[in-house]
Amino acid sequence: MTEPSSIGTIEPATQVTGIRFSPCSRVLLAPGFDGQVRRWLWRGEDGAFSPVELSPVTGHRGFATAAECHPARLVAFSADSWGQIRAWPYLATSPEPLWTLDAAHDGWIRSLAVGGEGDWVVTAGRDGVVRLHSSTDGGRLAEYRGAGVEEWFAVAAHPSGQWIVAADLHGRIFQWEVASGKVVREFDGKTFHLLDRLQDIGGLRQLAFDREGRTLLAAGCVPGGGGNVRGHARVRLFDFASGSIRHDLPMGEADKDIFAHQVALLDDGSLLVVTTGQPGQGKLLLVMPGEEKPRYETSKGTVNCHGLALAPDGRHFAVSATNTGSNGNGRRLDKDGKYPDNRSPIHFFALPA
Amino acid sequence: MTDRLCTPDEHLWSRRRVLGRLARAGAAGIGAGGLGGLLHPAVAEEVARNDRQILFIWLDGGISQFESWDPKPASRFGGPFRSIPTSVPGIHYSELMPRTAKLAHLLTVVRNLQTQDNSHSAGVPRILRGDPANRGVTYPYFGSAVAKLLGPGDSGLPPYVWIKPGSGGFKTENAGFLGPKYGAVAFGDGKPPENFVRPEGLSAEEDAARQALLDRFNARFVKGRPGRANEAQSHVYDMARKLMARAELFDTTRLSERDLDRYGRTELGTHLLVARNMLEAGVRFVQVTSYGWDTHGDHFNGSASLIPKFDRAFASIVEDLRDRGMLDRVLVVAMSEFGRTPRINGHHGRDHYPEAWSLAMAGPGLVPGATIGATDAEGVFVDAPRSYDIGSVFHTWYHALGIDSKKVEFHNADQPLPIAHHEMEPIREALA
Repeated sequence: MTEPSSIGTIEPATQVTGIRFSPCSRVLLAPGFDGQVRRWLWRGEDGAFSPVELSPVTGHRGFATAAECHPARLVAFSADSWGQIRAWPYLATSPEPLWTLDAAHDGWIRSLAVGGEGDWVVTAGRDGVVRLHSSTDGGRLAEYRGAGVEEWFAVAAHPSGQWIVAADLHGRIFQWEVASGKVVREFDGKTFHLLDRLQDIGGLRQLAFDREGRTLLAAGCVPGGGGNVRGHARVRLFDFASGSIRHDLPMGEADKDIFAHQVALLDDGSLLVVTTGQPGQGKLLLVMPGEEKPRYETSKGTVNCHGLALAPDGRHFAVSATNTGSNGNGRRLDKDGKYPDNRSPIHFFALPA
Repeated sequence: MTDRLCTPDEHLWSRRRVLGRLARAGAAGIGAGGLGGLLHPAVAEEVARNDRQILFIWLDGGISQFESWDPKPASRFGGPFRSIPTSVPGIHYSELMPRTAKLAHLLTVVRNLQTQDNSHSAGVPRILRGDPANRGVTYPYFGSAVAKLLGPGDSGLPPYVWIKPGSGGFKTENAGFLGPKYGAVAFGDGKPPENFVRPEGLSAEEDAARQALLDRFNARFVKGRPGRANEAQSHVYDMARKLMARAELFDTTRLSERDLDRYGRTELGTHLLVARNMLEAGVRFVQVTSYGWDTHGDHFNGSASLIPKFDRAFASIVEDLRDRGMLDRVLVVAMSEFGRTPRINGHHGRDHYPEAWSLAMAGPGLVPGATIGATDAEGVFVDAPRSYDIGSVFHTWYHALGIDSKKVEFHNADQPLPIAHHEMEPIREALA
């Protein structure tokens, strides 16, 4: 495999928390720190990179934390840090909500997934609850809890629609049977947690399945210390049938690549991973499990990458990064005397044929 | 005698000079502790009756004002969290502090702090010393200053106890020009300094005999060798003995299950329970330090873990001090060396921000339920008309403790020194 090739960049005027493609691969969604979900038609009919920004989805509060599309209908679902989820037509000129749940959770919804062939949306919150909602009207279908769980960090839906998995602050990964609501088992993700003095550091950032549901991926940080969190980015691959750890992959360098924020499994078994670290650190990696070195890595324009989206066409992906010079103590004003904020440039890549 | 380095305002007020001279006359008697050796007898008598104490909670590294006392929900830099109403109408705190929000009517929160240093190494001592004007001396930390000004009281216990994670011992460097005697007795990990407690194999009688022998040796050694170091050495042993006699104060195995549940089974919760014991026993100044607040990275998840634990422990001790009637005499302060930036960096952290931040207080001499000052809608600038530097905060604390910081002064040998920045004033709106 040769290297991915950069095909263009868009510059949203805010920091974004994650990115997702629509099933047709033409639309990119980016929930942001400003409570909006931005949308782009990123390529024209000819397939060339020619992004057109659509009007953003407004109405979320706090951070917009997640967005996912229905696999068949032209509907997207988004969540925020104040506990709201909403459904909206992602190609509409004015994406008015189809339904809204203002208090789907008590506060921060950290993760959202769509499952059951689009029948339901599952959300996981800081309130310690995993909830299943009807994708049609938002009605609550079920609620899942784990013994001793204070807050959830990530959730994923198995492609079969039979199971959901969610990871908590302490790195415990629960699997429930959707129909019965029973906990089937726990996967071992405790390496993603550390109690450092007063701080429980929850390192797990994403759970995901491969297309067939044979592999469960857990991405995050093996924490080394709190406050200014230190640690080492890690991706753990579980064999879903047996629950055993198939691969345990450190990413990049400890204390430089601190979180593996997002991961995607390619059809050849390799992984795309984006990492974050101290400002100016973090990168994009292409890794084949079992190989000593990454097949590809770059931090050119891709530092502190918090979002990674693999297009369903299997040929493109996008990475949301952070502008340079994002940090600094004190009040540094720009040349106009204004206090600046940061942005998340989104880089588009083509995978080699 | 000539007052070297005195300032013009000192010449406007003759009483100060009288007191200063009295103080100098008594300076050799610092072993008496507090102002007893420094002040006019009438004032000294008043100070001797002063039963005020301090609980100083230091969140080392910098708690974020956005995620605590001064939330800006749904603004450009507001972060992911909501704000919640408090027991004071119109005042909101972060949702991460639900228990403290119910006690807002007991608290005095300053939201318009603007201080001078955005580094830890310089900022921590600068804040803890009150950032006075440079007079060529190292000022004492607030705890040492209070130990000097108010003395140990009637408790017979050290006046300045510091409960902290990590190492303990005698932290003499905190005392600055006051001399090592006014340093802190530090309880590392909430435990007394090593070899502090009498070994089980040593009877009380044997220990007393050994101490008597040690006293004689010390007295012989010090004779003809006057000096602060020797004095401090004796003082430390004396304090150690007194604390050893009160081992129950720091014995965490005696803490009740109910209290541990209320305060949280955390380092900070346990340390605040030990602090409560110390305050109840009459220790003048108790500092409790929590480390790990420098959230340059993964700030929001970090705050989601840290601040609720602070909330639980802080609210519990404020409740307990209230229920015991101790808020009439215990000044409670919770603060850091600075706040955190509005801007969210690429590691999803907030950096250091001394330009517009907050602290919280409770206790005697303060206006309960007051919220002083404001920041702008995005939390970037302090709103007009004024901001307060740490010097003003020191004046405020001293006034709350019944010490007139515009009149009382330190004396470093012949050098009169203001106890707080001479160009600053107390935060009048905060004072009852």
